[in-house]
Amino acid sequence: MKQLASLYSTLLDACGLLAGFVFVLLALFVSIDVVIRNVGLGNFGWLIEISEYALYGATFIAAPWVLRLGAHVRVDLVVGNVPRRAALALEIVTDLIGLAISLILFWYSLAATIASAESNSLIFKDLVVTEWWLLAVLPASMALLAIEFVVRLVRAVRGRTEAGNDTVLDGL
Amino acid sequence: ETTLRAVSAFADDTTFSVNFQRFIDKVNESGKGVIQINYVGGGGKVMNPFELGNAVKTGVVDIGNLPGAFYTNLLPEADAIKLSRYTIQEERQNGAWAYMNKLHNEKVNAELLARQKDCVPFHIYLNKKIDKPDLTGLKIRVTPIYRAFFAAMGAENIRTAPGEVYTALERGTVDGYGWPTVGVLDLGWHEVTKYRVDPGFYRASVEILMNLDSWKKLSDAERGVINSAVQWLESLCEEDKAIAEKEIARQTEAGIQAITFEGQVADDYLQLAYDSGWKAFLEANTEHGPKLQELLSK
Amino acid sequence: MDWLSALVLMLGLLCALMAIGLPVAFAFLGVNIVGAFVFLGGEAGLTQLARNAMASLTSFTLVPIALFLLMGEILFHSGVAFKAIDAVDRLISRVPGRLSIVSVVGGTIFSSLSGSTIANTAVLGSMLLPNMLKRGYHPTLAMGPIMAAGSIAMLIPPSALAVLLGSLAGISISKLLIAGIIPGLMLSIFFLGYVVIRAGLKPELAPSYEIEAVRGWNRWRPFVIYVLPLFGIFAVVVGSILAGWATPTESAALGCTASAIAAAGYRSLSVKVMIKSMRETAKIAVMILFIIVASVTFSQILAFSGATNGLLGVINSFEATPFMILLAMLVVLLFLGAFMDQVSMIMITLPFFIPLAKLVGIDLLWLGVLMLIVMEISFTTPPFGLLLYVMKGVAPPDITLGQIYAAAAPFIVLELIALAIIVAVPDIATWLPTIMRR
Ligand code: NA
Ligand code: NA
Repeated sequence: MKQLASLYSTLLDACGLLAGFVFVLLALFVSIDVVIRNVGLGNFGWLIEISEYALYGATFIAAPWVLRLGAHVRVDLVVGNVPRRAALALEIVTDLIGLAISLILFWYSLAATIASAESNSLIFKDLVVTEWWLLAVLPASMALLAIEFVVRLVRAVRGRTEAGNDTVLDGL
Repeated sequence: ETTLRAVSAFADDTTFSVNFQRFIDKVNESGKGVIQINYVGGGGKVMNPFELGNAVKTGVVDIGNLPGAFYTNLLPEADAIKLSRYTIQEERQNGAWAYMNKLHNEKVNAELLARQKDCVPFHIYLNKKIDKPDLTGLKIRVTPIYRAFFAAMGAENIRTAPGEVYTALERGTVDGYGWPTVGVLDLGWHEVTKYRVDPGFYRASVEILMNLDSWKKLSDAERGVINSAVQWLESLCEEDKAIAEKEIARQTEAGIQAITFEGQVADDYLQLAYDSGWKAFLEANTEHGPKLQELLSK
Repeated sequence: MDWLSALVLMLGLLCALMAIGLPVAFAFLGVNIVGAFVFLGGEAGLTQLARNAMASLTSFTLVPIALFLLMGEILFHSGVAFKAIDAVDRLISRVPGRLSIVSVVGGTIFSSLSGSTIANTAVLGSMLLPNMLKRGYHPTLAMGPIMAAGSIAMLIPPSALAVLLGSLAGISISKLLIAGIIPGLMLSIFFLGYVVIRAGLKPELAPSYEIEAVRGWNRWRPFVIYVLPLFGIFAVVVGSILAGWATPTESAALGCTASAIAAAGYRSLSVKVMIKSMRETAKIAVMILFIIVASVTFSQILAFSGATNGLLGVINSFEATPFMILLAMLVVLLFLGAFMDQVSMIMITLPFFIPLAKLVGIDLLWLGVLMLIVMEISFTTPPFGLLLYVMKGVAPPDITLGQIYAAAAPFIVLELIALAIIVAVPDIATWLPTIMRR
């Protein structure tokens, strides 16, 4: 169990780092594109399309990691100003709602992915991309988010609220 | 009384939405007590335009107003509509519409209800003068609609995000782009455009799709109301041509000069447009491609 | 369902979910699920909702949000920003409120290099605050200028928030970025003026102290080495947009490259620094983008339900003057800003504000700048202000949140004055973009 938990942590960490790496690659490739175009060596025709998919993929892949860090901003007006027991109860309620949201979206994004795969949908831009490969990121992300909400829930039921530890520091 | 929900892929009251909105008004007027259409709105504020096809397919929206290029993920064959040499009336006669409608039924779960802006073509807009149909050495902003044709003319095809086209034209990142006769002024691109190449090519038409289940549920009386509005909508060709003429005059006023090919040069130019378009289409659509080419070409 | 019930359902549920502490992005997602089921039509609506999540993010115009953040993080974690502020510190001579002045000047300079107010405030706070408190600075003159100068980062380009606002509101991103320069500098001068006057009148609030007398070249040397070259980064980002050579996305990418080159030039770039920068960028960018996913769909469902048009119709029927409508918009934003983050503020109000502004003929660029200033103010308005929490995070434990609120207050007043001035004189915001190369 402990090994599984640490494996899961490593997976989430890797997702976060991957997202950051994607952003660094975007910076690098767009810069190179500007330079080679301006010296007349052409351009990367596929760069915009890849950038769009990368931005989408990175966001959903790393969203569970961000939840693990408690870095999804929240309004802690109420939670921060009620007695500890009430705060714990609220934490349990919000974790349950979060879990429900993740599960519902998991189910319907899976449905969307399967529907797209069955009808063999292709996206025709510069590249021809199989649509369900892209859509499949959604159920994967939602499944990880659901697991993360369960982890938070267990923690809250055991009497430890994460609200106090959440890094509200991380904004813009 | 049945009420249907309609969405346009283009913002309210813009060139490619106006006639669709008039079509809805027409239905609502003549269909009192029988059938009504609730126009939810148009453009990205209501729905991502590239998701509208899927929304019609699943019945989230009953009627959608969108060009074939916006739902090629569902029906790659929709790309052939731009290559048609026939008017929609002729297509309804010669079996082309029926063939295309069957594909829509099967793959998009939709009835190909109507076509609007049937008489508006695309053009090449440029910032560098050309004197023959040759784009060698020019960087042209493309969408999938134009890619094959511009490549066949030797252009270096460039993809630019819609919001960045203006800047790209302004500083010469691209030397031109493809666009219908109408709409350039809506986008403000006339400020950074010097030439329009005539004649126009292809059809910049917009399709009106209706969810097939919703369509099948309609009674004869309800279909009657819709069909007569469709007939009216598909008869607006002359009006659209007049609007395009006015738009061309406004372009001229804004300083866009025409580069006009005539005679044999113009014929060759158009032939290349259709040949290159069909070539790319046939490569991607081996199953229905040949039949569609036969039905849509003269 | 009539539009009013739809509006109450959507907004009411959103506020309720946010209030009980559900992360903002999930509050939007929760409302979207209910809204999609009710207005888009049951299960088909929910499947469409999932597809919209992909469609709303595959957009090239959102790329600079991540890149502008990356720039700031590279300069922050490589220590280049610290050296720059240290160099400014050497330049300012013995005056009352000296360190407050350093924080405003240093903060303004770093604002032109970073699109992140958090990085800006964290740099200034962790660097200058301990020294200020040790020197007996009053908390107001210690923390106030740091938070105020920190928040300017979102007004002076590069700015991730300006990109977001521009892309969602349909305002030219280049013009909006450029338009923020003069108001940003104006605010910076206001802050300086306040610090100088306040410390001059009551020197005990910011006691002056002996500083090591460094004269001549030695005094200027760090500035020339550690600050001047950094203006090259600003020149790359802003210059490339101003001259019309680069799109905002491209300028953001060039800015990242320039920052990495600068860090490498100071021999401060390492794999460790890059990994730290990557993680911090991912954390904030993903948080913002995830809210965008959820809230773009929220506003689409709101429009789909008829609520947007219904409300606009009512507002229109009042026949209010454009000026009154503008004031109402700013008041609503200030109110929302007390309770929520900047991205959510944009997301909730834009579906109403932009059609309304177009309807009554309010200049969108001007409105955009005013919105940015209100968002800047809301970074430090209690109870929910991100920079207040950042300050709490870097301040010594005995500083209370109450003290931090109090420290921010005078600067909020200054920002409100600046807002009023730009409402009265729109040219302050719109003049610079008009002289951009056509
Ligand atoms: Na900035
Ligand atoms: Na606030």
